[in-house]
Amino acid sequence: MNDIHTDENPLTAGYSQKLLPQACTMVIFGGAGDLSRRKLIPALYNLALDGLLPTRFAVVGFAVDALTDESFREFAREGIETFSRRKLSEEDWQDFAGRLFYQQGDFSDAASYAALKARLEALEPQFGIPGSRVYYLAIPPSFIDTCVFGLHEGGLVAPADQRLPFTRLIIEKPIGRDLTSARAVNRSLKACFAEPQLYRIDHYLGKETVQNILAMRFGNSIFEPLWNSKYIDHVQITVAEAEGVGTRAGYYETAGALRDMVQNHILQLLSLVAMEPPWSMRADVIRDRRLDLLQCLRPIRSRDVERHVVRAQYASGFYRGKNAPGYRREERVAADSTTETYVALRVFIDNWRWAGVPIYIRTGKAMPKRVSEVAVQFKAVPHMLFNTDTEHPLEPNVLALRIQPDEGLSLRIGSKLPGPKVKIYPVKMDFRYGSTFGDQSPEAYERLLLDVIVGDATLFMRDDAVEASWQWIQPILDGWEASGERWLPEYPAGTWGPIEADRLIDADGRAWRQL
Amino acid sequence: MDRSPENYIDPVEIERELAAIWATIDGQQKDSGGIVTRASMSNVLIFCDGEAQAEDAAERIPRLVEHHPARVLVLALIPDQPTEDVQAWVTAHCRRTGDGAQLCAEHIELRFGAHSAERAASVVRSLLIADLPSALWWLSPRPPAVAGAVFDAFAPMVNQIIYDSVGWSDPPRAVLAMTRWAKSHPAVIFNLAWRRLKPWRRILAQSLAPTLVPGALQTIDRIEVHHGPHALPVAWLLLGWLASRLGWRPRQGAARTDDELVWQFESGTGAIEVKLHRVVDEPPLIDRMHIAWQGDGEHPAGSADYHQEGHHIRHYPSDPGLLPSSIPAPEQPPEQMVAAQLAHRAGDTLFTEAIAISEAMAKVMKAEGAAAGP
Repeated sequence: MNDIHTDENPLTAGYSQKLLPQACTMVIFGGAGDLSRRKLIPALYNLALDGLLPTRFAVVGFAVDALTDESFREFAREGIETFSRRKLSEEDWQDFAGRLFYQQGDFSDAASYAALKARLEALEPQFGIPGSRVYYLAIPPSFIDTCVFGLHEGGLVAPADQRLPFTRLIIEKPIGRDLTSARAVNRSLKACFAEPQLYRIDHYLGKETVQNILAMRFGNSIFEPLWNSKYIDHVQITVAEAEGVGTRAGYYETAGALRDMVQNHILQLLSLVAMEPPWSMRADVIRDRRLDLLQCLRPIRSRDVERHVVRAQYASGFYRGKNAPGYRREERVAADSTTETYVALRVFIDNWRWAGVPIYIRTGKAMPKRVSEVAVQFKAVPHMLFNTDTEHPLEPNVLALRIQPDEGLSLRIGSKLPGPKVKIYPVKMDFRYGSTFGDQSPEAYERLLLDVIVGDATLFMRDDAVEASWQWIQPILDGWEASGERWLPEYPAGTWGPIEADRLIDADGRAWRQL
Repeated sequence: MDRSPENYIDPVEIERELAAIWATIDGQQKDSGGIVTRASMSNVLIFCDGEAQAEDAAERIPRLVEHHPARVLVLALIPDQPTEDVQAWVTAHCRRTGDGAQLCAEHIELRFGAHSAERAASVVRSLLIADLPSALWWLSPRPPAVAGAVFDAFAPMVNQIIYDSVGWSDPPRAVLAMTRWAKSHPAVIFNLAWRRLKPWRRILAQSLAPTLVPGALQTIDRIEVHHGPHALPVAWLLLGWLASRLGWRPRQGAARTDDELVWQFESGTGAIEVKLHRVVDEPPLIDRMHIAWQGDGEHPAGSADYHQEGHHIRHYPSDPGLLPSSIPAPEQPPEQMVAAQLAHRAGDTLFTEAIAISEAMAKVMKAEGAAAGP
């Protein structure tokens, strides 16, 4: 006989937590905004199609825009029709739409929080939701403080030590724009929420291939023994975007490539690639290992920035045969802007495993194509038996983890060419998620929203990791600030970056990968 | 696809014929600068009774390999096949991927007569790709464990046996035979009916959660399930799951009429009466379900109704203050369910526990000497 305790559910025993999430309401601050329309609502719709949302679930859009429940549903429908990976079906939409509500309110007005609370308290009993809530702050960073204190003072935050009802808060990047402001944001968050209630989202970590880094490293016995300075020559991380800044120019002018990409996405990627093996897949164990790695990054002192970091701006050029404007010619960009649209770095990890292995990072806008990958280049064989002529040297093995597009991994190995001579030629073994598994992978936001609903923080950033990454970035920002440069190196739009970046890696006798 | 006898090949020619097909595809692709990839995650054997079912299986293969690339072998038993020889036929299924490459999976068909199962098995053994898991998808409506020699010939080659209990003509006998077989063999068995029950299990688990209706699970005293023709084994398995989760034991069972089965279960808190009704003119699904609980001193009595409506299962609570809830229950073609199942090679404890109770339900039903129809 299974004993049935008051709040234990024997019908959920044996199921993955992800398959049976707890009833809750998701309140989207900025519910009428672009992120909500393009990503969040389509992600929730797809989770609903897969039967992964709790059966007792409601969504409340909360924003200053004058919408009604009905017009919010129209807005949501348009977002799904345009951006969902699966087509809208009328039957499923009717079901989904019945869970969508809208509450108009001013984030800085206490009365709006009181009205939101009253609305939630009226809706939740009808849905059998015990008051558990997920708040998603899909708002500009300048509103974070206001909303966090508004929620707290409005009595909308459940105690952290209580299992049910729960409160969880999702915060979008950027968390601050330097170390001081990041600490200030974390202080505000922690004044109103406990750390386990906070989910700092980085959508990169929701991508299948990023998660596959852990699976590949720790689910196969052939890679990990080679994953160290004895066998690895260097690592290259590339995150290239084909488009210029476009409509994001206003934000980008205040950020730049280092803040926009390196401080969050790329350092998180690096931490997964290089961290020590966790002893369990528990969220805090994984997050501890990621933090350890960030703390091992060798600081780049302000005076050394020029030796290890290259920043640049795209100039006018061609992208796929079309004219592409230079950064300073983009709308809402200052004519004398010194915001970098490209950055390349040489990074070292000071620990036993990675001693002396350079990590080369490059990221930029207006590059020839959109591609993100981590490439691990292994050392050459210790003694050359083949291809001894200098014209055709034996090429080293490379394991490339492609994050986008065509998620997958490839391994370059040497193979003998057919014929009487022993000639080694590089061949690529390629694994593509889409080709092998056929199904469309879920969008990163689907995975991450579901993780928050079930309370799994593994793929989210903890306060200490955010601060550790800013701590490492800060001297670079300080070095740039101190240099007082008014002109940055340039690269023509549609190319792989400035000559200075080539020199950075060339100085070590290496070259950027051709992608 | 032309499967006329003149296109059949000798089984010893299969690998050579496949190589020729690959060479042709490669040649066509090279002319256009494309890439061809042969992808295989498993060996999948599909057992079919007769020509018509083999043709049906062949039509399902492209969708199966789209989700789970595999070397697929269709094994068709043709009772009146004039020769004892095994006849073979091969092809490849290719689809274009996003980057224009061709991704191909191999499809081999074998036809064999009633006394040639062992001959066919010897061909299959030589064709399995090494280092890959193998699964037997039992498409035949005969329960595998009562099929005799033909099942015994193929089952030892595989790690997983996937069957579908929908449509079984004698569910109590078939349930007993399958559970007995599973106890003495290492292969993982899996019933597609279990996968069909997933939305039912999810909505029951969430709508009866103690946080929503405290006291309900402990004091359930009545369940009625209405199912379409051929869906008795599905309803049976759902009850097996509920009983295994809630610690109920079947005490007696009887077929009251041709269309109604009744069981009496016992729990730590009392008796539970369960009725299964067959509803004519409905699809082979669980159509609706009613669960009632008596409550206790602390918690009130109540009930919940569940209806399959279109592609959703809806829950109608007895509490008028609660809105109905729902969960998608899309109709999935069997090949899609098989593809999903192939990725789960380990046994499912919940399923094993559910069929153990299903077996106990069959035993008490037998004790009363009643026969149950589909």
